[in-house]
Amino acid sequence: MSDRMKLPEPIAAVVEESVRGVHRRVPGVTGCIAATVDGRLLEHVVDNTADPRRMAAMIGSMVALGETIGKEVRIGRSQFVVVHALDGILLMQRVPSRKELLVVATLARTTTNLGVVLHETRRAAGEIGEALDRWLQSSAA
Amino acid sequence: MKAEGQYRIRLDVSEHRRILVASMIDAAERHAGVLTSHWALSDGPLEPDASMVCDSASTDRLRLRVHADGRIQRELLLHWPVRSSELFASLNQAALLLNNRGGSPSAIPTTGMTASDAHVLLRDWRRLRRSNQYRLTLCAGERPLLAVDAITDRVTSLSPNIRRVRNLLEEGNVSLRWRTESELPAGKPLCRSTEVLWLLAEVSAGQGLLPELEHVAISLRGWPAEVVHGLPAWTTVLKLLRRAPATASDLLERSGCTPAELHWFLNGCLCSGYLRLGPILASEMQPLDASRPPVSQVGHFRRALTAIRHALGIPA
Amino acid sequence: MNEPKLVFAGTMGAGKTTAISAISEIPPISTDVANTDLDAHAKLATTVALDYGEVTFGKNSKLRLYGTPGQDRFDFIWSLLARDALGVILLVDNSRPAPLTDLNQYLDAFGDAIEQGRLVIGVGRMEEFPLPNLEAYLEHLDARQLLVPVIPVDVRRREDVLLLIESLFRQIECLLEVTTGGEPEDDWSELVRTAREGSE
Repeated sequence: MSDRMKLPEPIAAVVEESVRGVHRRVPGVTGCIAATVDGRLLEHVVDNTADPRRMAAMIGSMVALGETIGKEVRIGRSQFVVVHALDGILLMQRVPSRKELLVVATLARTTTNLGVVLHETRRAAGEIGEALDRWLQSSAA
Repeated sequence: MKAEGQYRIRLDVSEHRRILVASMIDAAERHAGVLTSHWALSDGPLEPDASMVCDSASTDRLRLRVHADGRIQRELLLHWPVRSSELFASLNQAALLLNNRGGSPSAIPTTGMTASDAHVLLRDWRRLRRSNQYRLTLCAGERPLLAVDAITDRVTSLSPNIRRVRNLLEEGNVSLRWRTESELPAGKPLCRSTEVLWLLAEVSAGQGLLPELEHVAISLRGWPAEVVHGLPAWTTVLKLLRRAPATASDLLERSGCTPAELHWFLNGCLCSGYLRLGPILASEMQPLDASRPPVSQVGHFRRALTAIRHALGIPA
Repeated sequence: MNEPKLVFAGTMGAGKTTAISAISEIPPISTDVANTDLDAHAKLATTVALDYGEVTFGKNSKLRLYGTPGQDRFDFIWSLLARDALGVILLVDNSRPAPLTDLNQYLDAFGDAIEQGRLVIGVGRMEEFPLPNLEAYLEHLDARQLLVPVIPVDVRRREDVLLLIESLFRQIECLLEVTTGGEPEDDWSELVRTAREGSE
């Protein structure tokens, strides 16, 4: 039982690079986190003092809650969830893959364009999803 | 023609007692295993066969007359206030008689465990409960049916077709005794031992407190979960015990319980491990006024709980 | 307290979702996702935000049923859901390696509910895993000076869930101050009266 999960090496490398890539490419991004859908921390870069493990759990909850709410209010499947706070933005989404096991989230300053945050988060999620699918395929073979 | 196990009962008693008895039967109908037969209330004349009339033998007694084969087969008397367990036991006795009509009434067991038997067993339980050598067993003749074990906190069924413990005890034909481990066949867990202990406490109610409870300060060391199946008056006892230690006589004075109700509760609690006993220290005891709760506007809260119970089908 | 809420808490796999399903009159709304921590529990899906169910009482009132996620990393939700709750039903799984250690964590988290006499503990799988027994639970709670009902249950059975609720209610009633009657009828009493009339 652990709040942190160790990934198979090929996926771990992609997750690390994708998370760090978002943080590196966008100046206003102050953090990026990858976690499992059930809230276990995989990889993180966070500039402030927020606890990444707690963030991972909360991101798992928020993404699941967003999807449940989307279904409940008949607006279809949630694509992402945003918390737009006074001092920052947190954008969270599921990693698209054949087995939906992971989530990714980006923390940014309010001055950052939300579209850019969304684009970069999607890109990271896409890269991680492809790596996960490749690994699942090779494991099944 | 009614199916076997379905009988009619007419309640020829005053209106408020009629409501009380009817609600007891209604509650029992909703709990599987309490009654062995179905009893339908009837206002009209009853057929002289397979039915029962419930009337007042006097102001303080309820009379149950079992009609079968065209005559009154048995008359059972219960004292007011009638305890639900007594009523259910009587209905089950009547059902046995009606199920077996044509046979000899003498074949019907007439009594369950006596109050004094139950009281002695509870005393023994306190004395022998931690012994590895003995188990309290429920027997039919010499054949053990159940073993009550203080170590594992279990009642073990030693018979493959055991019914509810309560029915077994109330219908008679069984006895409780102590046996050594080596005398017992293997069994399987059936229920918590407290189920039997609280039943013994109920049967022995009115026989007095267990000796350890006399002249000591009583406090709670655990919340007696069995209260959920018990009497509303116990709520006040719990409230008093939650505040500070109290003696049994204080509790009797302040709770509004009858002696029998209090004996049932305290003896049951003691045998189930929910009580802490200590010397009477005046500084710890509750001043008399503390037991009188202040008036406040919490009726709405209480009524909300009642409404939720109603919605969920929990008997009040 | 027009829409009181009841919270089901406890370790992963203790049966919170099952308990809500046993009494909810709507299909429970859940936030189940894949369980990636099979060392913690072998089940395939786990609740990560909340479960939700409802029971209608009176004419228009709802008892809201919330299930919390079990893992302690979700403790931020526990306190959110327990705030202003009518009560907390804490489910402990006796098949886990250290049920009393599990219990401690929840007793700490739901201290306010315990203080107000609004928590009841249901112990599951006690038949297959008899230890710790109820005396051990009593001793454990006594050492922490807590008075909380502990009841062995199988929450797959509706009557066991109702037993937990009734135990909770009895405890709450015990701590309520007694009214002497004669108070003016308020919204609640009207609600209860009409609910009774409606069901008769």
